[in-house]
Amino acid sequence: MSITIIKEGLLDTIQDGGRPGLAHLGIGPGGPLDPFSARLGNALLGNDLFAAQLELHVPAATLRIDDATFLVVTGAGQIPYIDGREMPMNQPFFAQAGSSITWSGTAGGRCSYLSFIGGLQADQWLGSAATNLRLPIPGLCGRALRRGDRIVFHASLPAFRNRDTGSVLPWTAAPPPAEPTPTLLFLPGHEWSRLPASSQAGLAAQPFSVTNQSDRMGFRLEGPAIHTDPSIQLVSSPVAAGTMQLLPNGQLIVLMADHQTTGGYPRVGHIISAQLHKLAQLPPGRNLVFAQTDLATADRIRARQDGYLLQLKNACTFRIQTVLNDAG
Amino acid sequence: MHATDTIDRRPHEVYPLGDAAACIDFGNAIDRQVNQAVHRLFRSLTEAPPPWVRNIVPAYSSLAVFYDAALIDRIATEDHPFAIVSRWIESVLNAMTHTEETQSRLVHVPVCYEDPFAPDLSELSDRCRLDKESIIALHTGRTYRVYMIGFLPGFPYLGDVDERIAVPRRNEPRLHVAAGSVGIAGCQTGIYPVDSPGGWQVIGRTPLALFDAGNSPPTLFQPGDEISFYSITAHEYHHHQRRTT
Repeated sequence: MSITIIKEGLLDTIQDGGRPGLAHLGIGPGGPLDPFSARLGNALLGNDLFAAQLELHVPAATLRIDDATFLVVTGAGQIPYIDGREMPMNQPFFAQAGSSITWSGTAGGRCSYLSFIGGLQADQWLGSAATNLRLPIPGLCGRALRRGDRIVFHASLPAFRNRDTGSVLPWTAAPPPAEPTPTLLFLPGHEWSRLPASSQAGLAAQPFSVTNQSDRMGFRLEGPAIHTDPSIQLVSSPVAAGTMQLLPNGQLIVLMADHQTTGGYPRVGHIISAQLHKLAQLPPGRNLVFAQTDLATADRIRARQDGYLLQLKNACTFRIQTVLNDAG
Repeated sequence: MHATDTIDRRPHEVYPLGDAAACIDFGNAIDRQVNQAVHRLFRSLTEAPPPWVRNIVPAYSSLAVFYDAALIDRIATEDHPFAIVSRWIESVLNAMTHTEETQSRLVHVPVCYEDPFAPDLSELSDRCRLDKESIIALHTGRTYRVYMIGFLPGFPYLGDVDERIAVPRRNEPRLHVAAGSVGIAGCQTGIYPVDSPGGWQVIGRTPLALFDAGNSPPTLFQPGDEISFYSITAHEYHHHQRRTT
């Protein structure tokens, strides 16, 4: 049971829940750039929420499905086509052996996630299949997918001879609502209090835009210059995904999935983890605004999101089982 | 013993590093004793971590515990995740015994300080008004502490560099610094584990592999290790490389 890369894309990687437990060695956990869409894809197939899947940037790779499977596309990268036929996002569909997946257009964001029933069975390094391009290691954990790569998936399906390629399963999930200028909630960072009141106010009042210096490690933003006391010299300290670092030129960089584990720039804020996916999907040039929040609110939003994904996964696990039983 | 006590009891604060990590901070300092306290805490925290711990990251004078908030929600509903994590950090800190000064591992690191491995050594020599031999003698003349690992997988931040050779980073970072390059940045010295862009003043190169995906752990150094450098010739450098590849 496998898929094969027929034509490589710009930046297609295998991701799963990441590789915790090594950050003290300078090896961050990594994982999907957009953790919401990634988990949504797994939930729709009843998979473990962190099962291995593909993260496909624009333009995305052409794939051949070597063995029959159910799959789903989530996220906001390109729109999937199977054997030339456009498929919906956020709704699982069937693919017979030998069908091919191509991509076109855009759903308005940066990357899509292609999830397979049962999850991918990719090579692991230290307990995770997640690709981290910072890791100097051989194999798919250390590089993007190339033409000819073959990736195995877990599930072996019962005979579905009568099911057509592209036939959808009767459930879907509503994608996150599109916001023309998303508002990102942030928690004040440790150095927030050192910003003058004017800079604190400016951060919340004016829009920032995503620059093209943005990748899986971090997104550089462009906006009103934020001034801080230049005499502040910080020794390096831990940083997290979502940490908003203030660069010496007064601009912000937000750390993303493959970020460094430590940093010496002022940590003026942290985007709340349940909303980092909104930034993750913003292409260069798009605007966003920041709004300050508190930890209790961040926890509440995260718990609601986690609860939604878990419920969806449980419901879909049941439905998928019914579909498989009916076939047998 | 009492002196050690005061270090671990020194003032600190625990603050949220976003909504998925708690950071305990002993003050913004590059200080051997403070860093030893950080690493004693690191070792104590890693002895029997609760299942919701994802990462524990020690730095110069602070340490962060990354947690799985959803898992905490499931097993401990009486309080917010950050409060539970902070209390755990404080309780481990309070329960630490301060009698022993744990043995650090000492790693001897061969470095070739010759061209072409030392592109910034001449400039350093001019700047510090010291000949190359004196710079090498000062760099190899002391034991350094791995204050923390960061920046790149396995990159050790080592200190403290003799102030006579403690030059700041290059104004223009290099786009390519070779793996094994040994650099100086202020009072810190460090080794690039992999090819990378970088701004440290490169004064030599080690043939040792700092990162090996097949090893467990994959990095040569651990936070809290001690390192001493010794000078080798280009011939010895190449001999060592041939032996290991």
